[in-house]
Amino acid sequence: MGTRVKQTADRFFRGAVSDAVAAAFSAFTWMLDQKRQGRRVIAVEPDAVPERYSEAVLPGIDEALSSNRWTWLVERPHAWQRQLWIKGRRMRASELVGHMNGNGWSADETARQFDLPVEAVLEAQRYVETDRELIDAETIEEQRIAFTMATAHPPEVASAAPRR
Amino acid sequence: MRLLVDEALASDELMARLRTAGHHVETTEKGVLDAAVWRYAQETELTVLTGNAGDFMAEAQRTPDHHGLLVVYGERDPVKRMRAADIAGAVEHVREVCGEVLRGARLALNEWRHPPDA
Repeated sequence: MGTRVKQTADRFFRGAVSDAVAAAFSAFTWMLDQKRQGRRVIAVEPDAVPERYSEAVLPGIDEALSSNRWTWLVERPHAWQRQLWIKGRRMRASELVGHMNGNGWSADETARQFDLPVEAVLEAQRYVETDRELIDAETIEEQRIAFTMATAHPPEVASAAPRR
Repeated sequence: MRLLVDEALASDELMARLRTAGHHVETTEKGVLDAAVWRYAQETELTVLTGNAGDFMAEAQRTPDHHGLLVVYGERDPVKRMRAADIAGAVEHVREVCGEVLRGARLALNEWRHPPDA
């Protein structure tokens, strides 16, 4: 059971098991409520939906199931990163867009710089806009790791550090 | 310096700037796993230059006698993002202060960025 919950969390809730469990409980509660009202909870083909019905809404899951919207981006298993990567490359979509924006490159120029199809760059750009909060959070985590693990600092930074 | 530039950083412009500055520069094959990149760098005595702080910092911790790790982390503020020119400049700054060999060192390259008027 634990493995299935984890798989569901990874697939639909960016690895957040608590969100997966909450969504499952919400769906169960909805079914229970329907039955208490004397209704039947069944599944029908899309072309056989009756005139009057109630439908369960599963936030996050319906969107994920209905959208194979990324052609050039993929998920990759990672301990804590959940943002998408460029397919076939060891490069996060946000890194590519960061280089593009930081250097002031066009999508065409970015594609040329990294030997990628321009469609991949444009898709990465769209993705970064849609997942901004997650990417920002993961950027902060990367910074924290880099700072805490650095063994040497430039003289101007080291000399400015507070002394104990 | 002898550098292995991770594919997520290896723009044509950065590679050209590093070569022009006199560094020995290689990049990784597309899609190769972090562990393989790290292993190759250690076998060939290359300092890894990467934008992937989390994973490579962990590799470096596991192999304390490594050949150096230079990390460029992302910035939310577009003004603070490291351009190819900034990265090449920061590598130069590291070379000036630390020399050509970074055995066992882990550096956050963003800190080594030259000020604009430098």
